[in-house]
Amino acid sequence: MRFLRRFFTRLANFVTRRRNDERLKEEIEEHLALQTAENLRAGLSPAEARRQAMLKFGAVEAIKEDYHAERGLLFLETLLQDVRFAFRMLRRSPGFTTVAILTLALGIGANTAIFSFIDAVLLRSIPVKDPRQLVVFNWSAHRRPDLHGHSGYGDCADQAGIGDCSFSIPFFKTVRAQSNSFSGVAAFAGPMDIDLSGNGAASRATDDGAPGRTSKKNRVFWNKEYGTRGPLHFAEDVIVSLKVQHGEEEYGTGTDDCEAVSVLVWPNVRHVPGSENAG
Amino acid sequence: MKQKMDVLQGTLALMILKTLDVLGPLHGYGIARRIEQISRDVLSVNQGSLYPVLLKLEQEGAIASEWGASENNRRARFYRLTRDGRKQLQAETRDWEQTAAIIGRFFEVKAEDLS
Repeated sequence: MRFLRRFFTRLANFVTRRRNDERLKEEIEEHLALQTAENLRAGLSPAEARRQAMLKFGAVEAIKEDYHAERGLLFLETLLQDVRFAFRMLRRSPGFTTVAILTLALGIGANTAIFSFIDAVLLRSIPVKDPRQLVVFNWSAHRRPDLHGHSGYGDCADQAGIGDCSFSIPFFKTVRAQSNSFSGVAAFAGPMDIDLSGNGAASRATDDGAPGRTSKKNRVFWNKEYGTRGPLHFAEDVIVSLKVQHGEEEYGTGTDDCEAVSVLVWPNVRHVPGSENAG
Repeated sequence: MKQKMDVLQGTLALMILKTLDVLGPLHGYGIARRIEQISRDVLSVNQGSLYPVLLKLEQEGAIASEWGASENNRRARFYRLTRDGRKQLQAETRDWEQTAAIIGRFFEVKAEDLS
């Protein structure tokens, strides 16, 4: 409480720039006069009396400084002085100032860009409850199977090409329907184009390389478009929601050679104009 | 040495409060004289160090000051204890007596008392 009161008084003195150097000066004068008079009474010569009084009082400048420091906020005062000085120096050498500011700006900009990238790629976790518990399904075969329109995705492809982690949609649906051991099953699609033209022979959705935007509208579109089995385009970062993808029963039937979409997040899907329905 | 000075600064404030409590309003020189008389050498070198402490006490609200006339009829700043200052003095007196009593007991202890 006492500390606060003292602080606010000093702050007020600092803000209003009130100084009572005069008051201290007068007090010192009075002090010295009284002490000198005392010394005179003790029998000293006037000059010696004055000298002794000043000796006894101590270093006047140091005391003035202490007094001044106590009066206001010395720290803020010197800080302001330093800032003013810095600005003066900067104004005096505009070339240096420009280079320094540009360097800072570029540095900050580059850092921000790099961090945004790292944040998106490494730090942002996928939206599942406990990412550390995720596992990826693998298959392997004794001999290389005859695959059509198969796109292996991820790091799980076997060296000899006789196993990876792409599955058909029906397999996925079966696992999902029977998975008592898993808290959830999801699938995701790679960045390549994917067979999912629906009933009948699978055809390939083309990829024009232009990433679409993830939005609710896209999702709705996907739902609707799926019903017509139109060719669909997956942009680079396509990931399709399983629930959406398998909202319609007919998808799985007759498309056994269709690639599994290993699905994690939300779709980024749009219709490719001009492509014909392959069904 | 530095630490000793810090302790002195603390006790100086307490001495000022006590002096004002006993003698009523006084100017800086008067306070210095009283403290000197009682404590002998604490302030003998550096009477001026009283003034920053006076200002600190005033900014804390423990004392108040106003201009008045001194013995030789010059303008002098007179300091007096406020109500807060009196409370502060009581509290610090209590603390100080406690501390002194504890330290005193430690000094009185002899080896045979502890065995």
